[in-house]
Amino acid sequence: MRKNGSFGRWRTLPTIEGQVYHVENEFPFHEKETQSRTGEARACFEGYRLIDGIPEFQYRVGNLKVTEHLVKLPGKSGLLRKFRIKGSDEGVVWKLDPQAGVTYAFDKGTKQGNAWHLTGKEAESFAVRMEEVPAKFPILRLGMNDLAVCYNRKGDLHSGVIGQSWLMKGGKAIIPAQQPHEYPQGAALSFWVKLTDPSRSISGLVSWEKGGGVYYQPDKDAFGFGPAPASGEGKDGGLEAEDAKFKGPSLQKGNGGFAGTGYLDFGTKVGEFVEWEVAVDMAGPHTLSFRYASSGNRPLRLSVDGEEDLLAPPLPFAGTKSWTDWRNQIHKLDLKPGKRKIRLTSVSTAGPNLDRLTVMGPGSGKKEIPDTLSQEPVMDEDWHLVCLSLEEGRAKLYLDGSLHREFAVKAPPSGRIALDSPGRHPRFYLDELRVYGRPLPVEEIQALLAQKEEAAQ
Amino acid sequence: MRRVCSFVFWLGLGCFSTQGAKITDFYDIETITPPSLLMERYGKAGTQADGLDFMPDGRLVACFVGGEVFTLEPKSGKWKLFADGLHTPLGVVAVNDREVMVSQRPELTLLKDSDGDGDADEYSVFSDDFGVSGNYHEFHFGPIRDKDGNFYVALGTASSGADVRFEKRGKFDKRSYLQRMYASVPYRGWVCKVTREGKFIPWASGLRTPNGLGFDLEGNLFVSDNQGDWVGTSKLHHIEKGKFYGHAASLLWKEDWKEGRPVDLPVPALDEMRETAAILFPHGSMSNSPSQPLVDSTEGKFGPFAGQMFIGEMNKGRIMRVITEKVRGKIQGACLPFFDGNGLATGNNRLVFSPDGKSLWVGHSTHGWAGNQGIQKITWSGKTPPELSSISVNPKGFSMSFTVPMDRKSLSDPANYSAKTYAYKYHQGYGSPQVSKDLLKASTVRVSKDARSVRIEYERMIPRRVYELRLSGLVGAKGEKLVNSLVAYHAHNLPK
Repeated sequence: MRKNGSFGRWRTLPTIEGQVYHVENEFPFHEKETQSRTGEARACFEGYRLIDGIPEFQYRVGNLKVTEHLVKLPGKSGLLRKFRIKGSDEGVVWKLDPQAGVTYAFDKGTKQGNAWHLTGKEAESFAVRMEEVPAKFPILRLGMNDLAVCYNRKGDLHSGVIGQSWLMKGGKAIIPAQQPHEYPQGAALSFWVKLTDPSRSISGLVSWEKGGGVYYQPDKDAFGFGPAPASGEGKDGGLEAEDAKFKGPSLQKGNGGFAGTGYLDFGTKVGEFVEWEVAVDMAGPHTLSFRYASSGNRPLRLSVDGEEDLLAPPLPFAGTKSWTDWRNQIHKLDLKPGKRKIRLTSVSTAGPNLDRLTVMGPGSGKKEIPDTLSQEPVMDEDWHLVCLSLEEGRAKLYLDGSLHREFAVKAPPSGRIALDSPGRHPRFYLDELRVYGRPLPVEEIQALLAQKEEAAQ
Repeated sequence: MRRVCSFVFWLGLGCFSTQGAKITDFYDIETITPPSLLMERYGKAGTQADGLDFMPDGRLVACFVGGEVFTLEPKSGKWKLFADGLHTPLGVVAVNDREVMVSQRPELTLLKDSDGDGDADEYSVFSDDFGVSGNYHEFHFGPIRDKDGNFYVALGTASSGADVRFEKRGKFDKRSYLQRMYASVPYRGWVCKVTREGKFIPWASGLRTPNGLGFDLEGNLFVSDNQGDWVGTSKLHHIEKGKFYGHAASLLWKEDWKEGRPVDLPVPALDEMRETAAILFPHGSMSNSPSQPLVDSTEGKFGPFAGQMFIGEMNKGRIMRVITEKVRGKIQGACLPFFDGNGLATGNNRLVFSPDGKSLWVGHSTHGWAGNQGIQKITWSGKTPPELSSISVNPKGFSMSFTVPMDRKSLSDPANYSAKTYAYKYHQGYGSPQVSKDLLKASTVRVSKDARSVRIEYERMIPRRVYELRLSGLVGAKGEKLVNSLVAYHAHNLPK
């Protein structure tokens, strides 16, 4: 480890040099009788004693008084952990983590399922030999909390799947400190993602320096892999308001975050309108997604080819958090084939700012957005686990544990991992990024998916 | 023969009157060679010393910014690494020849050299019952030990210049989060007592960056605070259990706090709750960042200031003196420079007297702000500097005494005692300008028979004001000027 930064402030946090092959986020064992209440008894650190310069740590965990001494395995990548535990009448249970990146060998006790059991007598003195399983553990494992330290930007941390997530919102691309890697044995990525505007493309969510990465394009069946495609601006069928026919609203550029070259500012008279001409391929249910920003409920009336549903209320265009917080007003309706004129008309002297219209229907190739999104501008109400596994010229992309798409890969990726800058594209939340130097089997993907449920518990 | 004597006398007087006395005419200053290991590890920046004490056997114990604790044999100048790997240690107390209590960010740690080889081999958590949010500004100041063996520490608030970490210790409360300086985890902005058995007791609230604790000879606890939000100018507080000293954020952690966000309380209500400072250090002229107070317990071995306190200053090469008195139940008093420049480095963060009382050891640090590094030693030469010895307030003015007989003529001249008076605002803003400014002229001056003390009266005296005097017109009986002429008295109360 080495020390960083200016002295005497928190930036003297150490940096680990070398490859991490095992991380233990929780205290590894608990008293047998508290097995059903795992986590209740938190480890309380009490200090350490140096033996030949190596610390012997002391903890109190509930009723247990624990002493742990670490010894590096000579000539191997691994540790011998020697424990002395006092105060356990019933014994202790050590939960074995299949994702640990190490093999476990206990000198006492018995294995029962995915746990190792030691009697109270055995726990008084026992040793665990932990040896690295090469390439098992991720090359890079990035809890988003770590980004908060490296890139201190207030307000960017939000609740995530595990701990906190990072809101990717453009600017300088975030590339955590890491070594460049080659991937002769294959490669894999996994991360949790939540989109804030599913109608917009993201050219690269997570990418290698060479060999591409994972992107999102709503008109190409969501997530994909390959060399980062060009900006999705305008390619996902979105129709800019400023390119439409309008009368009354003014074309503005003052509030950031809009798509295209500007947005329309409704606001002074009843009867102001914007009208898009939309090519409809097939008859059937369509979803209209109007991207807008508003300071409160500022309704607009919808009409198609000059006809409006007089019994329906105007679309509400509810308040967004600010004039730069763009959201989607969703409306479902049946459309006939041909060129349709979609018009929004102001019904009062206050209107929203309109950015663009995206039309999704049976012929558009786009997935429909659930109704629930009309109030909460995310693809749906949950996070998605995206896993990518590359092996022998093939890339398999998994979405929430199921195979999503497959791609041919000419050459393995290489270099560092970049967390892409969304720039003018939609923001997205990112959590728990892992990069592996091997393909990722489905069993491990399923185990990663299960983390969300474990975290929820 | 008479003519020759006269010539020698006037020659000497001429030296004083043309150059004036300087502190190094009376005190020697020496820079201590730092541990070579620190130079190897970090270079000069790693020699920032943030804690000093002496073991009963005469070894100096010093902690350094990189997390090391060393001992020094003062005679041989030989350093020995005592402990390593601590996180921003900011103070040490040598409990005995084998045990050292050190405050580091997460805890009060007892270091023990159990086998007597000069290295600590046990690092035991003595007290960690306070919160840590991960914000860089959450310093852990102290410890100091009272005569009964209890320890006192002070917990710095977090800075809105940076956020917190996800991993926190203690309950996280957002009601002060990201305000200028905030206390989002327990007891930030508090002075805390840790009994000799290790029991943690929140003691007093309302501190901002309390980088320095000390006792006077009566056992009164004093803690300094740095100018900033809610702190109009830097201060020295007399700390008493349960009291609130002005920085609002820390109020969250009062046991019975039910008021919501402390900053939402009207300022007059907070002002009513707070205990005002004992000493106000005028920002700019006196101190921008005071550090540790240390009472002169040497009984005169370090010069003529026994019983007064010395206190470091970070931004200047200055150590100040503090003279206190109790007026209508409140401890208040004056501050004035003691050692100013003349080879003293900036960043005067920690002080300790040598066991023989003749030397004051000074640890310097910077932490990225104004300051310096290394350790210096100030030793009294035995000659008495011409200085203001004491000052106390009376209903109409001040009484002062001096360390040497003074020239009666200059001492009698009211023009030498003109006082600038002012106050500082109490508000959420950062610092305060001097307000309610006034200039007072002395109306009456009465000089004692021995010309070593004087009683001054002014045309009016107003409580809750700083009285700043520049005594540069005073001359000693031998024609010498005072070494330091600036003095600022905080007259919160006036005697009846």
